[in-house]
Amino acid sequence: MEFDTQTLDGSVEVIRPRGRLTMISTAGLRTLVTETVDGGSTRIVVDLSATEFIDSSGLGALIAGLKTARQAGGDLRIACPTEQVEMVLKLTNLDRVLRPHPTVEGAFGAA
Amino acid sequence: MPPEAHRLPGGTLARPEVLDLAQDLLEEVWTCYPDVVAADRMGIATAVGEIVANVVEHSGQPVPPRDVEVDLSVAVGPDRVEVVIADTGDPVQVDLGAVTMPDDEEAENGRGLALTRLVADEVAYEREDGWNRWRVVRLRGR
Repeated sequence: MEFDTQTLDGSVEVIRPRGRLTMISTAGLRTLVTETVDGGSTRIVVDLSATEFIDSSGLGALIAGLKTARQAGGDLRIACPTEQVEMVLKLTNLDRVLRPHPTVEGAFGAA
Repeated sequence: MPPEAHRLPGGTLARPEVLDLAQDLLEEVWTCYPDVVAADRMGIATAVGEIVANVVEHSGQPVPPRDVEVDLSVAVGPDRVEVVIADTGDPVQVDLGAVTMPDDEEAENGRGLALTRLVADEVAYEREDGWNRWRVVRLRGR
């Protein structure tokens, strides 16, 4: 799995996984979030518009990332989930913990 | 399984690549059955993804040490999609009736089977002749 990254105004880091977020790719996402936070960027948006499929490992990686960002005084938000991702978030009630935003720019408010 | 089942190649070993092989196979199946609606495709993909991930995860250190083979076949009927995932790993201890989402909403693990049960109408496990066999059924258009 590939991860595109981008910095938005206001020092928000965007991570955009491309493909299926499953067992094989979750280690990469966890590492990337940790490195981003260690690098001083604690506000992260995971743009899920190119994540065609997620499983429970992928959910675990998002939650782990959320905890990492929050422990560093920041936050991790998700945006633009695809249909299957949205379905899985709802069924697991993780749409309350991870609260998907409709846009990347709006995930940390004002834009 | 009826003869028009779609299947992984025989002798496929339980390795992480199988997660992608399984999803690729499903995508191939949908091209043959374009009238399977999106909700059913996603439900089956999700259930299969969880079970295959469990198979691969638990195939790491079998006793006695050996290659674990995995078999996966998909059959689409007018009213249902049925997938059978079988593997030669060690027997699985699971009480499918007792599976729920973790109490801790920030738990990083433990949702797979609960999720499978939400997207499938039937999830059954049996052990026969050295094979674990998971059967997942989704009723179409529910």
